[in-house]
Amino acid sequence: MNLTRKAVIMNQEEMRRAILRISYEIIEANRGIADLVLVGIRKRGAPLAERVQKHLKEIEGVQVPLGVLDITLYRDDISAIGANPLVESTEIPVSIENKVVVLVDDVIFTGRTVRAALDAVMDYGRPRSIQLAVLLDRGHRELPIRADYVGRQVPTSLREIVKVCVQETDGSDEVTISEIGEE
Amino acid sequence: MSRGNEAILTRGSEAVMNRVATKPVSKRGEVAMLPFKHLISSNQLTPEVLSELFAATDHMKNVCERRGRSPLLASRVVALLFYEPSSRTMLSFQSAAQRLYAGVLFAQGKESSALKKRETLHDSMSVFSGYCDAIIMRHPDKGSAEKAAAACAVPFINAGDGGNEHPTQALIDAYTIHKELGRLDNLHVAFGFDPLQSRSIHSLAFLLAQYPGSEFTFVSPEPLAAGREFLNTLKKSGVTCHESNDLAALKDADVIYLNRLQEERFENSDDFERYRRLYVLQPEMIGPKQRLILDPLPRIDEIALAVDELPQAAYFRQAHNGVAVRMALLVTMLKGVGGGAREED
Repeated sequence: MNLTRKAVIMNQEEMRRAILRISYEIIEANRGIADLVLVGIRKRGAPLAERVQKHLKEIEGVQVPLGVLDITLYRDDISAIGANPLVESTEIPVSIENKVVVLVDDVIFTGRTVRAALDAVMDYGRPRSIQLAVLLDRGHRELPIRADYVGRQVPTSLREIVKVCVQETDGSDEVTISEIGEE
Repeated sequence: MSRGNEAILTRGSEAVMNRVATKPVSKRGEVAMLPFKHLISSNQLTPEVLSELFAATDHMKNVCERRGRSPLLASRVVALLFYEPSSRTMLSFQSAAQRLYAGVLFAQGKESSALKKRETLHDSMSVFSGYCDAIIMRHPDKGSAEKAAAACAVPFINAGDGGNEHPTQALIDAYTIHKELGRLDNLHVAFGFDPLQSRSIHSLAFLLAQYPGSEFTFVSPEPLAAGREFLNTLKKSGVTCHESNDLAALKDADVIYLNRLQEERFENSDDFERYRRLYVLQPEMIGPKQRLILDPLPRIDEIALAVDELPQAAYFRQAHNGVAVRMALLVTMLKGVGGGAREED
């Protein structure tokens, strides 16, 4: 696939501020952090959830339980071309019965990843509620799913690719937008 | 029984196993999660495949403990064809399928099947492929799994083909060793006491032979010693192999893997009666060096009841892993994923 990089739409500082704001919004919406469980969706939701956990600790002084979710077994949308589904571990270290689960992911697009994540979480227990935090919402939903906490809304075309890079796996923090070129 | 009866081990051919560099794509355009369509031999269970299956098994254990069931295979039907008696393999596959909400079809015993009416395995599998989304078969004949899979339009799982292989048992064994000891490489495993005829021993040995530093000791009465072809295959894979008819040879192993003498494969019942009393693991044979004792069960005499008290005795934990392991295998083999995807969603 021929990709042309168009712009950096978030730099390291902008990402930090967005995640910090999301952390405050989570506290505000839930009137504190009692009963919260953070669950990052692999891959890039996991390090972002860890950052939210760190902010919550700094603000409220309490460590919120953190899990990581692999949704490969639950997906319905990996295309035959170029996809190589790889099952990795899911670790949710506490019971989520009657807890408020906050799912964290990098981008919300069609909504299918979140649908798969909801199924996966339900197989682990029955939370009181499930909320969703994303760094970016790029539109084009195919399912009636929305995020509760959004770092930035980014209008995109279907020819564009939004890529979130994080220090932990990519060596730097930035969000870029690229366009798929003509074949 | 004579050496002439030595097991001829057939291992799934490349073509039938659909071993491909990229993952198979079904007629619905779905990508399989594993790099094969049919599971015939444990040599398909490579370290890469095991890493995915172990992650999926951990997930299934959590699902079983926390919710009991998951609707992951609610739209699928699996057929259990058991042409040779089985209780734990059949029941654990049934439990696995039902915990995933899959429909289950049953056929048990050759007597009640069309095979009795001389229908070929090929024809049976061609027909049953149209009834279900996967076929799980146990059959008394060596090599029957490969023949059956060749006629299957849907994923096929070998649940034991005579004295040949039992790859899903090897998967349970490997998962248990990995859980208990944290690794599968550089292990000295002592296998007893019927390496000639035990398909569970064959399949676990083939699986572990893929890992560096494997060393195997086969302990058995001389007439039940491991087949030459089997040993040669292991040696070619780089495994250091020893043989002994003395129970003292168990003392150097990290893992002791025992399986009952395969009574149904003995031609002479006197031989069976004689050997079953000679080869029995006793607690005094176990020291701190030996870290794990496994047995695919059922047990006849190969492990004294007093061994159950030892912390190394892991065979009941091993058995309990069976359902989650088979759930993981069913989901990864049956639930392809397809449709139009976007990379970053």
